This record gives sequence, C-alpha cells and structure tokens, in this order.
Amino acid sequence: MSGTCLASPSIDPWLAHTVRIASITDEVEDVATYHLEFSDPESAKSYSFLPGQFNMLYLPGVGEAAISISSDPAQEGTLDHTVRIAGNVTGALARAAVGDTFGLRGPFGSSWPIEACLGGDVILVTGGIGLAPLRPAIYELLNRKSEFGTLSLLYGARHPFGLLYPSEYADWEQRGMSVNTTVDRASPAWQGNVGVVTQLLDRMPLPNPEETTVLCCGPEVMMWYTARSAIGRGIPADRIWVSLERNMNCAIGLCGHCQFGPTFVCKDGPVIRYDHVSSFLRVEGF
Amino acid sequence: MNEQQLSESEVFLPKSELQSLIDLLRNDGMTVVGPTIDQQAIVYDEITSVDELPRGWTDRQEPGKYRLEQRDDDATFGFVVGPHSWKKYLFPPLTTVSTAEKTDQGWQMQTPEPDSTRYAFLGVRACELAAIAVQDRVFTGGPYIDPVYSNRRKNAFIIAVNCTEAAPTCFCSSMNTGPECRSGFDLALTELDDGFVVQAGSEAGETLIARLNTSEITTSQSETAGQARQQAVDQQSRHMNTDGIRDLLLGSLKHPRWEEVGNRCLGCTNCTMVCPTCFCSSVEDVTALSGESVERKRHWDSCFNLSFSYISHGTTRDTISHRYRQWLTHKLASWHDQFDTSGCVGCGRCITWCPVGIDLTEEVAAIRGNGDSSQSGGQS
Amino acid sequence: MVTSQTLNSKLSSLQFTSQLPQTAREALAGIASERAFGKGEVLCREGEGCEELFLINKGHVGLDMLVPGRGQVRVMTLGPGDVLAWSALIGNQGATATGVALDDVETVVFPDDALLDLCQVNSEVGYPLMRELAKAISRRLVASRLQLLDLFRVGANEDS
Repeated sequence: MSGTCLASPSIDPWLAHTVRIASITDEVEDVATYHLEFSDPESAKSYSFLPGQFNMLYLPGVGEAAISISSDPAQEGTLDHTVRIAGNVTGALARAAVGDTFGLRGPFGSSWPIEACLGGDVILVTGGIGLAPLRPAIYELLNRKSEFGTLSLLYGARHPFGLLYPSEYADWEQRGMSVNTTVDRASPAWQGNVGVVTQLLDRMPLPNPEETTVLCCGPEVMMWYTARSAIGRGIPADRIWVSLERNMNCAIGLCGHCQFGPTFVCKDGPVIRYDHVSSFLRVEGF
Repeated sequence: MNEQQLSESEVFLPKSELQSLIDLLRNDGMTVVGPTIDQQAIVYDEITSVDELPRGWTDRQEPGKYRLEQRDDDATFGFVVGPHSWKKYLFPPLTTVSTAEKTDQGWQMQTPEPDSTRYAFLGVRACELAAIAVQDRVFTGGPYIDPVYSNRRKNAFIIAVNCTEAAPTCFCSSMNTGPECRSGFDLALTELDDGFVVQAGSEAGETLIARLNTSEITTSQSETAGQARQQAVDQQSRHMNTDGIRDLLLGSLKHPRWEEVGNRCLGCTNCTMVCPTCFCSSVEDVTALSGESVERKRHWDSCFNLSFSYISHGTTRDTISHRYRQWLTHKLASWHDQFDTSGCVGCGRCITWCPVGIDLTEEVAAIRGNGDSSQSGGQS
Repeated sequence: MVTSQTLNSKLSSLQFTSQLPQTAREALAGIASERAFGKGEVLCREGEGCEELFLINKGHVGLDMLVPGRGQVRVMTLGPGDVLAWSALIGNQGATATGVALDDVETVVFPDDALLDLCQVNSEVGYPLMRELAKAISRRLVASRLQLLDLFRVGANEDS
C-alpha cells in the first residue's frame, strides 16, 4: 500500500497526494487563491469535501499548513485555497508558480451544519480572510436556496480594499443572499458601511430568531461578541456555529497541538457549536 | 472465571529459568526489552541476558529526586519505575512518517513500509499496562489510526511484573490502575526469593509457559506471592482525590493556583517526556542537501514548549502557568471527554523527574481548596 | 399629517423603543414628529448644538469627525433602530460627530426640551428610556472598542 493513493479507510493518514497549481488569483494584499488539481486522476475522482473542511498543504522541505478549502464542493474538479502569507509554508506558497507541485492531505475536520439550517433563516457573520472558509457554505446555501429562509452575509474587513471576493457579491445578491459589508477604517471614496459586524447584526430584522442559524468565522473576539449579540436578539446558543483556529500539526487528532479544552480543533472542529466552547473562549491563554 | 479459555492456574518458574524465557522469545524473532542500569538509573533497553537486569538494585524516589541503591537481597525486579516507559518503543521518540522525492512529474510522496519489529517487553508494571491501554485509545481508538503505533503494538508480547514495593511517589491505587496486574499482559510474574509465580494472560502466554521448565505452585509460594503484592498496596502513601475531577479542573481555569505553580514550573518538559501517556508530537521536514529528497520526521513534543501553540504571529499559551494548566487539565480532565479515561495512571514519574519537585496530587488538592499537603501524603 | 397613532406603531417596531412599556411609547409618540432627509443632508454637526434626538427608522447616517489634514473621517455608520444626537440630551456641549444622510433617511424626532421634561415628570417614561439609551450607547461603545482592537490588521490572529 506504500506509495499509492487509494481512497480507502485503511489509507495511511500521513500520505499526501501530489497536487499542481493550475492557476493563481491575486485577491487582496498578501492574499491569493490557489486553484489546485490532482496529478493522479484517481485521486481527483475520489476526492470530495464538505463546506468548512480544510486540507494540510505540504511544501516539501518547508512543512505543512492547515488551509481551509474555499471553493464550491458541488463543482467537481475545482479545489481552491485562499491563503494569506502568515508563516513559512504560506510564505513559500506565495513564491510558488503555476505548474508547481506540492503535497496535500485531507480533507479534514467538521463542516458547516447546512442540514441544521434547513427551513430557517441563515446569517453568515465573518471578517477578514474568515470569508474564505465560509465561501463553500455560501455556494451550497445558494445552490439549494429554496430549502432555506432568508440568507444574509455580514462581512467586515479592516478597510475597503481588504474585502475578499468583491466581484462575486453581485452574483450572490442576485441568487438570493443579501450581502452586507462593513469596514473598520473607511477610505474617502468608501460609500459603504463603517463599523463592525455586530452592529450589522444588531440592526438586522429577525422575524424568527428561534429558527435562525448563525455561521461565524473570524477572530475569536469577533465571534464571541457576535454570539453575544445574536443571543441577545433571541437566537439560541445551539444555533450559533463558529470556526476555530489552533496550531495544527497532524490534522488527525494524534499530535496534541490543536487542543482547546476537550476539543481537538482538527477533528472535532474547526466548525463547532458555540455552546460547546463558549465557556473557554474568554479564558486567557487556554 | 474462565476468561478466554485460559487456565487461571499459576505456575512456578525458578530464577534459573528466566534466561530460558529470554532465549525462547529471542529465538522466536523478538527483540526483548527490559530494565537495565544506565547513567545511574533503571531504564528500558534491549537485553539478551538476565545479567543485564538490575539484580540487587532498587530506586529511592521523592519529588525531584531519584537515586539507585544496592538492596540487601538479590531481587531482580526490586524497584519501581524509572524515567523510561514503554511508549518509547510503541510511539518512538523519532520516526519517519513520510518521504517526498522530486521527480520529473513533480513531488511524489510515500509512506514507509510497516515496521516489522516484534518487541517482547519484560517487566511491565500495572501502571504501565494501564498507560499502554490509554495510548491504545489515543493512537488506535479514533477515526484515524497511527500506523507506526498500531504496527508495533499488535506485534508486542508483554510480560508484566507485579510490584512488591511502592515508592513514595506512587499513587496507582488512587487512579485504580494497580499495583496488581489484572489484564493487558501475556504473562504476569510475581517475584519470590527463588523464582517467579507466573500467570498467563493470553493464549500466546500460555503457549510460552508450556515451553518453559515450570513446576506446580505450592500453597506457600502462592501465599508468599500474595503477601508480596499486598506489600505494594500497603506501602502506598500518596493519594489523589479524583472525585468529580473533570468538572473541578475545567471549572477552575481562573484559579490563582495556576499562576502560583507557573512561577515554580521551569517549563522544562521533563514531566511530559517521562509520562507514559503523553502523546504530543511534531512533524518536521529533514531535507537532503540536494533539496530533492525530504523525510518528514515525527518527534516527541510537549505542551510546555512555547512554540507548541503558535498560530499566525501569536502563541495561544504564552506563559508557563497557561501551559501547566493545559497539561494538567488535559491529563486529568479533558482526557475523560476525549478518550473516556483519565490520562494519569498514578506512576508518579512526573513528580520524581520534576527538577523542582512539583507534585500534581498537591496541585489538585490545592485547587480543590484543600492545600494541606498532608492530603497528598508522602512528603518527606 | 402624521398622527401620534402611526408614530406609536412605528416606535413599537424600532429596536430602541420596542422594549419600552406601551404607556411610555404613547407618551413619547405625543411629543415626536417625523422628518426625512435626502442624501447628503446633515442631521447634526460636530461641535454645534443640536436640540433634537433622532431615531433612525430607515436609511443610513454616516458619523464623521473632522481631522485636520485628513478632512472628514467616517468613524461609523448608523442604520435603522439607531439613535443619533443623544449628546445634548445628557448635557454635552454640542454634537460629538457630524451626522450625514447617506441615502434617503427617515427619522422620528424628539425635541430635547420636551423629552427631558417628560422624563423629569414621569419616571415611568424617563427611567426605561434612559435605560434603553444606556444600552444603545453600550452597544456603540463595544462596537467602537472592537474597531479599536483592529482585529483584521495583518498579523492579528485570524482564521485562514
């Protein structure tokens, strides 16, 4: 079994697939999306993922980094990762070119609870590069629009040119999702909202808070105040989902790095129900 | 009880036959690992002869202290546990988990062939059997199975030895893991002056007994063995109150004691290295000079290392008290959520090998609101 | 001509006033009026006195502060349910930001004098109203702090 890429449960979890950079889209400063394709057609065929899951991208000689998948799970043959330069691996990725190969293990982790959203209103609250792990959920919600109530995206960034995927907003709006952006710092030309996402949530009409689901991805502070705001508006804590970030080394719950209390963020998360982690979120250094 | 059709009967193995046991295992292609003296400590290493065992030696342990002393008898297993545990064989400190080669078709990754080494562990204590059972859950009980551990584990032959003495650092009774070996072994020995009372715990163990020169056990031998085992129970002076310990610790994350213990703790990682259940590791790339061939090496790591919780430009657990809290709450509390067992087996290694003698039983008592050190016992 | 009854129903649907007791809302409706602003119109001006409290019913209002060398800097955007120009109500000297309509804005307006009188004589109105105002200011304070934390600065911890 050594050296083969069989999609069987007995596969060695340390074995990485070879992927090739098909194209690169520059997004915002220090952020680019890498469109990947598998070298081995069998791997390509057997690979599938759920919105919110991540891959370990492996640059030989540099190391691995956990990067969430940002493409449409229903779109076969596309596998996108939106990456910001933050460390050695992402730095090396930034120097990579179309045609370069590297390793990929995955997909790993839990996914956004699309089924739990059925029939109700869905609010996606995110900030900065946190939109990347939510984009597959956006695509899935829009692909199945009729199965949900209203869909709203509340998205904050540091400044107007820090907003990811701006060219897609019109399409999302047109397909039935209200897109509300806000920035911390306005440029003189910015005509949109200034402030933070919790304010957008505070002023949103919520006709059925008990049936509303919040999917949230961003810095922990932002997620905590978003949840606070949502709960204050009558949304049950068990309908709020957050995506956590911790150091990930193995991605398979064996190395201990990503622990957050009882949670292994790599296999129990990254997407986790807010009430399962809320008591730990404001504990310093935990 | 007639579990697994095994005979409950014990046999007597004279001391002169211990070498035959080692020889039989080696002839069967096994690497025999047992206790031996190195650098003034009893460690585990490959052995070929009974002469390498620490006959006539014992260990004196207390918080922050470990010394070997000559015994006044010839006991082969007259000591408790040293700095090593069997995890160094089942979960090796350094392993290659995968390799990468640059080819004309780009980088190609492979995983190594399964490890075919077959180990026979001689001298596994009850707390260590419990530790192996804990690591079985960690490495083979979840959705992902560690190939290195599971290969080595399934091939391992375990010869347990019942403790007949307890160190002041031992608290296996509190953790309900010992001192008597009850399951998880192929053979279990209890040492007498002139030999061993041997019990089989598996079919493989029974088969091996049949190949040894044993005799029927006498009533007096059986009684002496029972008394020897009871001595290890009676000598145990250290305790840990585990009542509601999960909720106690996870509900005390802001307790001032963490700061206090953090000021004493050096963050040296000794406790995690000697702990028989700690499983933290990191994988790093080792690149050949050509730059076209890479090995991914997994090495033991520790939640006490600053870089362990690093994420994009910041470290989650940035003080020693945060890291001590992580270690203790994981070991004694969240381990229950994750693996349905405590991560502590009461072997006391972390107490002995802590350079400043931090005692987790004392820390738990302090957080419980009972800082009285007599609670933890064994203070000298 | 706006009747106090339609105002009353408007107040019960706005977040700021929806939590007030019915009697308090009726009393407030009695002193309130409605006013609309076109895009670019100024509702209150930084440093100048403002004798009315606005409750935004529709549209958005930018809050700008003048920074020499940078001009008017937008620090926050207000929307439906938000209150504006509360400074005068609690005795501040003039507004602390310029409020400018960013689109078609509809507001419910309360003259400060009448509002203060009402609060003074009727604690059934005054106490709950001031409580709601404190909650609104608290929300805005938390929002300002989150902005201050600069969570999306490159290098700040984020999910990727």
